[in-house]
Amino acid sequence: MRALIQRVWHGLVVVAIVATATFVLVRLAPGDPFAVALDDARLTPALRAQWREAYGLDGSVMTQYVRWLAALLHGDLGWSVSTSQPVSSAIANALPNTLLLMGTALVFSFAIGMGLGAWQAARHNRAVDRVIGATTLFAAALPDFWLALVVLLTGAYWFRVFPVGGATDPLLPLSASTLSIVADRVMHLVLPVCTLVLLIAAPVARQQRAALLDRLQVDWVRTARAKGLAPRQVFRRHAWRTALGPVITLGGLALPALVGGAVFVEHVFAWPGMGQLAAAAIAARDYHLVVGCVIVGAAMVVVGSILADLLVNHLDPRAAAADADRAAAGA
Amino acid sequence: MLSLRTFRLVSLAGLAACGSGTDAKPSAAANSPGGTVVISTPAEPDNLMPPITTSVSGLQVEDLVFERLAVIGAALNTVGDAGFTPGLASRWEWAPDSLSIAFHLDSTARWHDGKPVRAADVAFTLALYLDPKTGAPAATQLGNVDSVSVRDSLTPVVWFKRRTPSQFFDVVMQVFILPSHLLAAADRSTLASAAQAKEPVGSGPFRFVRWVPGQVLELAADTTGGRRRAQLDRVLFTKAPDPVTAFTRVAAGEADLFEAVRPDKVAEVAQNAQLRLILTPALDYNYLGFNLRARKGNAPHPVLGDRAVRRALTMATDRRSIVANIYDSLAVQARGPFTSAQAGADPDLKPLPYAVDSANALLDAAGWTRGPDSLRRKNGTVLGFGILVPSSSVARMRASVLLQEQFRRVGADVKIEGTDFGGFVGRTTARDFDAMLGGWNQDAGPGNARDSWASVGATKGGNNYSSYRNPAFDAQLDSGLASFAQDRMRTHFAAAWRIITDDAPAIWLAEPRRVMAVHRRIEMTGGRPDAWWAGMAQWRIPADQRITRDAPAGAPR
Repeated sequence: MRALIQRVWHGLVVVAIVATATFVLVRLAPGDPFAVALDDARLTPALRAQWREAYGLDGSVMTQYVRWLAALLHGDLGWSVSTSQPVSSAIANALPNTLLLMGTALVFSFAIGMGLGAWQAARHNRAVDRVIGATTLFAAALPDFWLALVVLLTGAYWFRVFPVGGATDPLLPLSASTLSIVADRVMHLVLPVCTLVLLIAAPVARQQRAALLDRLQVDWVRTARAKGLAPRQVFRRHAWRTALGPVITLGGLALPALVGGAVFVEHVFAWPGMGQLAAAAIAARDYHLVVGCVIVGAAMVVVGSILADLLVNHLDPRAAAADADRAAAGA
Repeated sequence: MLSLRTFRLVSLAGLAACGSGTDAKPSAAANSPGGTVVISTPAEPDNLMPPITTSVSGLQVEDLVFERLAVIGAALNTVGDAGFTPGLASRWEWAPDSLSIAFHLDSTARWHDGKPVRAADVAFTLALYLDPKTGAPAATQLGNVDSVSVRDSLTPVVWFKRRTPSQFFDVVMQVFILPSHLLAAADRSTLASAAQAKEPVGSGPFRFVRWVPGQVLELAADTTGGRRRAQLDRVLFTKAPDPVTAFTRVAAGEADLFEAVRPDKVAEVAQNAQLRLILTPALDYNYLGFNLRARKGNAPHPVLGDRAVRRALTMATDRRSIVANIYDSLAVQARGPFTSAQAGADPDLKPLPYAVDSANALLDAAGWTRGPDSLRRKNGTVLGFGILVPSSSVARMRASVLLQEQFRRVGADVKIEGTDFGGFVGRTTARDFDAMLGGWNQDAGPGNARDSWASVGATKGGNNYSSYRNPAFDAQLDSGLASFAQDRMRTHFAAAWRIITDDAPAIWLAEPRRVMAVHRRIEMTGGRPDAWWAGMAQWRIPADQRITRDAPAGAPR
């Protein structure tokens, strides 16, 4: 428990540092929220200054930081200039979409990746292992933006099976049945999820295969084999379970994507999620929204790594003991 | 590359003819209102509160939901009221001294919540726009408005401080009339947070239905008032931030209109049996702007501060090949700081010619001599500079590469400085560049060039990013803006354009045309160079050509 409290405390410090650094860095970049277009001659310097003052973006960086921190203590993340709404509302609108997309993609990616990796490890050095290995290497090397466009054009334009992006059919009547709404959602999920699965499952499979091959050589697995256990039992109970550690860590690191989204995939598929929101906020120099997105993302990194550690500790008591030792030494 | 010259240019005046192409008189059923237009767009409004909206996407929606007192004609005349058609006001009267205009509101006009539109709404709206607390960008153009009085419930009278050629244009085209009963209590300093900024109530042909941020904004024809209803049932703006995705929606038949087809997609549209390609004039021009001041301090730029260098670079630029390379036939060469569709355009202006030999001779005469590395130098200063480009713009990136090569031929060492759009804007407004590839999207008003090229905008923070100053240019421009006769206005503007193109503070490259992909069943009409959507209330979809999505909202599909 002490180790957990320490991790949470460290996590809060990390989030605070990341938020502060982002707050400063985003203001050092050229441009500002009210100078995003050159071609509107009506936006005079005086008007921009007035708007900066109205939205608390005037004064030195330190003045703005103190102002922002005071608001944050009251639960106010500030006003998003580019979307004309509170930052918390903008995030609340985008977050469920990203959770749905990334949650679905991660579940499928890890299920497929782990299954594929285990299947390869069980057929080590056979032709099928080499073919899958080459395929996953190829998939892992694909640029996400390019892959997303290819999947979009294939599934939605050339074959016209799935919709061209978006999260819902804009023409779906408000009175549509629940079944129609769910079916519509699923249809819109297929292409972006397929893209993400292709991108994420490949490294998971490679990680799982490598970890399993490593575990299949260790002493206790040899002992289990020598004791006459069935190969399937040896594989499942003695090798696979202990080989989950690296994949779980990979899963923990992937968790932030649950809220961070996949910027390029969301962009190409017009998926109104956190990735798209953050990218647009950066382009528009929407300072408060950028920091708000970073805070949520950083918090998820911390939560993800803590969850991954807890899961690894649960599966491997030696790791839990080492963590407790480190916490005691730290105290 | 497939030549685009084979495609028909459809003029705005000819938009009415677009559609089914039949000459037969349509039946009453075929003329019945109905249908849905789905517009695929990469952007969405910043807000829907007209005084503070700055995005074109916001303006498009507001033009359908709200009304102006009167509407500018397709010729974009801004002097007096010639060519203007009734909007919320069915007619208007000028005072003999032209210092006031009485607008007679359409007595059947209603807000979408059912309340009548009254003269008090006009008075309230102008007071809102002019209140410094509001921070309305249009307040500058409305500076000539003195006050608004209410003669009776349907007759607001706008009083002006002085008589100007564009006083009518300013007061009718810069202002959407707003409902006072819904906005009177709103805090004017934070209008963006008012409920109306997200769910507007107007008096226009379409009423607001819903806005799901990042996804869709829906409008429906207003059928509650006694005025002529829109011919369409619904208009939906669906957002896809990636232009390829936004275009693919139209190409795949999920949407009906995409307004910014890239040259490489034109052939695809032409081959799509469901789509029509529509080219219309626009009010945009692209240019290479030179910074006449050093990046730091107020001294002249060591290279581009020299008029001879700028003229030589202009003459070294083969604009015809640049325009053809980037836009094929989807743009015309720009002549100066104006577009052909504007009332002040001078079609006879002769820009500096493309003449590399003359450019070399000019640089030799100015003391810029070639070294062994073939670069020119003067007093140890290399003829070199950077071109700032937004890397998100494919067209501008390509233009920068072509310019770099053409300038190399006259001994100039040019570096391309690509940056994200926010950085591009930040560095341009801070004058932290040597040269920049910019673009102006202008409104119909005659004052655009004054903001962007006259001395008044040359101070830091102004929009004259080149810091170009020439009192003779300023004088001609101001005289043109003060002219009540169109002929005199054009004469002064023509003189101004000659002065500025001779001084070459920029190389005006291209006037891109607006290239739209539109579903064939839609009959478009009433567009203007400054607003292709202007006639959307009269767009129609013949009943016999309607498809599934044209069914009324809520109907089974």
